[in-house]
Amino acid sequence: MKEIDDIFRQKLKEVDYPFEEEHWEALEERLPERKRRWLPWSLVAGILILVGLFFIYKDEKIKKTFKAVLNTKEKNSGISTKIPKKALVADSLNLAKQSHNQLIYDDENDKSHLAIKRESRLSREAMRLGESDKGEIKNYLQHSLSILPDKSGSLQQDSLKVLGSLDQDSRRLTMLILEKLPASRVASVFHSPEIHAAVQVHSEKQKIINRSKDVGSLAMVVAPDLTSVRGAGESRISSNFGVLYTRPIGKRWSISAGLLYSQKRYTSPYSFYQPSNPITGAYLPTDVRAICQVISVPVTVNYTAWKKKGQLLQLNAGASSYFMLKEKYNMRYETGYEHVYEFKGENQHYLGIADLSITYLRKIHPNYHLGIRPFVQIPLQGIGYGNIPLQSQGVALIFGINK
Amino acid sequence: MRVDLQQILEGCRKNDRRSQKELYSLFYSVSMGICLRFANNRDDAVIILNDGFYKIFTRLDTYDPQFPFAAWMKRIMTNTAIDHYRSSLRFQTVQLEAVEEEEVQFNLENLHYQDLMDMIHTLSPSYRTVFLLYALEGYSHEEIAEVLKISVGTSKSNLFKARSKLMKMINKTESPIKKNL
Repeated sequence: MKEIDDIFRQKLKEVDYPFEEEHWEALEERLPERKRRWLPWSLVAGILILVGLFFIYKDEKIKKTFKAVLNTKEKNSGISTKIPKKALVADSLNLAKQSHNQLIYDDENDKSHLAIKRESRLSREAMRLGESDKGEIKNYLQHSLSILPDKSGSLQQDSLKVLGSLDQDSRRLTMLILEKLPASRVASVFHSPEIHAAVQVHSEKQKIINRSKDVGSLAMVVAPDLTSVRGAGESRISSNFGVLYTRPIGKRWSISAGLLYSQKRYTSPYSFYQPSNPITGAYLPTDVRAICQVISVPVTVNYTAWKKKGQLLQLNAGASSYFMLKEKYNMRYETGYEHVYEFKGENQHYLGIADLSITYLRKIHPNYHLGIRPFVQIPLQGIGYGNIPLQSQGVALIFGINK
Repeated sequence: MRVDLQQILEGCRKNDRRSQKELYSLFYSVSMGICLRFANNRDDAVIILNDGFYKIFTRLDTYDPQFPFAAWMKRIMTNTAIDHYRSSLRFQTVQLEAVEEEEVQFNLENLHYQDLMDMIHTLSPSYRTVFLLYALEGYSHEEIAEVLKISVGTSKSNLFKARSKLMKMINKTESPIKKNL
């Protein structure tokens, strides 16, 4: 009779029951709710938005301060309306002309020689100017003075007296020189403390004006690409779209950060998958079709290699962080059986993808530009459930708004 | 590929859904086999299966890692199946003295999984449960008596009845070569 036991034990235990997703889903509904985690991607997005708002607010605040100070000075100060004495005018004119000549014939080997020649041409043009710019120069000086720290107030007034006392041509000439040359260069040529003070005024003004101008640009990006598992040989079309914020950090350099939603599609043999918790059983899938919804946060450094008449060419390098919102893997078996695995918000890859691209931008309006950006994304670490080397090549279309 | 069960269990202890799903899929087959044998039908089997896994996920802190997890898991699944049917079990008793054992040989090639499952399910729940616990899950009569709240004698007699019925059913479909009648 005990043979009966052996028969049943042997026959009933050798059967394999394939996993059924719906059974798991039924249980999942009953299981205690998982503690909600702060999703890192939402934190990153929040920080980006806050940083953006901070810069916008800060720039607006600077502009408002300029206006307020300017208005106050116009009301409370008689400086701008003072009529210069003739002697001072003559001295200043001589000073300016002398400085102008020195600048032209100073050091032939100086690296700024070309700049000086250009300045010379501008200066000659300035000399031909008539009386039309009085108001402009007065406003310029007031504006310059208003943005200096209070402690240099006396210096401001001195420089204003000097510059304000020049005749039109000399003022124009001086202002052009001040505007076009580095402060150190002008300081070495002009020996007048008043001019030095004016240079400081101008230098401070330029810094803040430049900063207020270079608040960066915001761009909308649409980027179809071909995504594949490196080595698998099969690419599928994926899509990306989002926003990109770029801020200059130098004459040719800038940094960008963005927030993009991507739907990555890729197919590969299962042998490329190296999950931390692999599928077990006698039969493994032959290949996998994946669809993943991803929030990517790219951070890139940009170098402007060429720039001309509203066009520029940039080289971009950086890395993207991937935050996998939803991963869906359709595991296909040799027998034709298919099984779907899904994961939600379970994988994050910080700076896990290297970004390399070239960007061509063309200004279509003072405030708008269009661009095209061929790019490649190279995996620095395994991505998603399968820890697979996911790579992409595509072309991003850019519509940018300058502040 | 090697499964790092300890890593999965660690995730389950943290109520990590992915790890729970991994554990579920990892032991789905063996658990479903147990449940299908005890249950009257597939729907009941799924209910037992998920009740069992619910216990596993919520009582994982009672598992002692020094012992095999599979054994602990199977024991919970079996106990869940017993709980599920405890109220409906009606045990019959026969005198142990009446039991006569016979040694038989069967042609295993002609016996298929579904045939045996059908035979199992023709048994009454009481016979079936005792037979499965004893023959497939390795319970002793004392253990069966304890979990089913019956006497050891009842367990033995139910096992005998179950075996007898199953042998008759096998005889109908096969031609057993009886060695010792």
